[in-house]
Amino acid sequence: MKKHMVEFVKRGMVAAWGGPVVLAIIFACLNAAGVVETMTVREVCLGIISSTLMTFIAAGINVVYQVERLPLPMAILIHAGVLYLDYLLAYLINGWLKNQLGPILTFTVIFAAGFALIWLIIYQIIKRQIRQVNMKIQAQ
Amino acid sequence: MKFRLVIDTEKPEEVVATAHRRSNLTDAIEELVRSHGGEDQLPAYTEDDMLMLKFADIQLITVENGKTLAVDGSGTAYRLKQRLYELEEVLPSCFIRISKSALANENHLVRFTAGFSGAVDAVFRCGRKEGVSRRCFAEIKRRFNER
Repeated sequence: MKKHMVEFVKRGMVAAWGGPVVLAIIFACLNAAGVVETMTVREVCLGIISSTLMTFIAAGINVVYQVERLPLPMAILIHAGVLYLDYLLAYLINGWLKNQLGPILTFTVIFAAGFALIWLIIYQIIKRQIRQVNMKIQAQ
Repeated sequence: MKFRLVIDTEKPEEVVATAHRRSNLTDAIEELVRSHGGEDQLPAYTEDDMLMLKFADIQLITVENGKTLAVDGSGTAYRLKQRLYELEEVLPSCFIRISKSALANENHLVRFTAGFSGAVDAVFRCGRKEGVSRRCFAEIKRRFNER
């Protein structure tokens, strides 16, 4: 367990810088489009800290797939659940998502569709790898 | 490939083969050498019997409820006295680790399958299915890709 916690922190630390960088790019784009003209110090600080934490958790939680005794469906469920809460809380705290049923439902549907799509791609990659190994087995 | 036989009565007898990768030939050499020395079998136990189980007849070795079991072609499971890591040291290289608790004889592997969850199973000639861990599958993939 300790090993996985260390790995969680390591992975999180490696990727955490990405959050504020992406945030800066988005704000720069919004500014260029004239959507965001000014920001308060509180908004900037909250944005930087929450996006760092969000990326830290999102990157670290991948470690769940390293826990061998965890069945894969359970690992996927934990991964999806943590990512969903991670993003949702960060969006709500920063006011990027209105705290109302409609926007949260829309976010939930988009998140579920995105996660399913990514998982489908991974599943296809696994299937292709298995096909390649099976071809080698049959060639033996 | 060259063949070199060194007759030296002073040195202990051993067969060393140098190859770029494992092949049917290296497997055959390994099997021949081990069978010649009588090292190609293990004592296996049933409820009231003991027999010598040939490596080549073992499809997979698994640990269930803390017991090490060897499964043969008919799907019969025999109890082994050794632990998995001890067996890994004596078994020929055709035995590959597929999870923390299982070794597979790749000569008896029919195929790998993937469930929709992405979990990988190994299917054996005896019809038995055994789960493959993600870490071990990466190693198996590397091993087969080298061929």
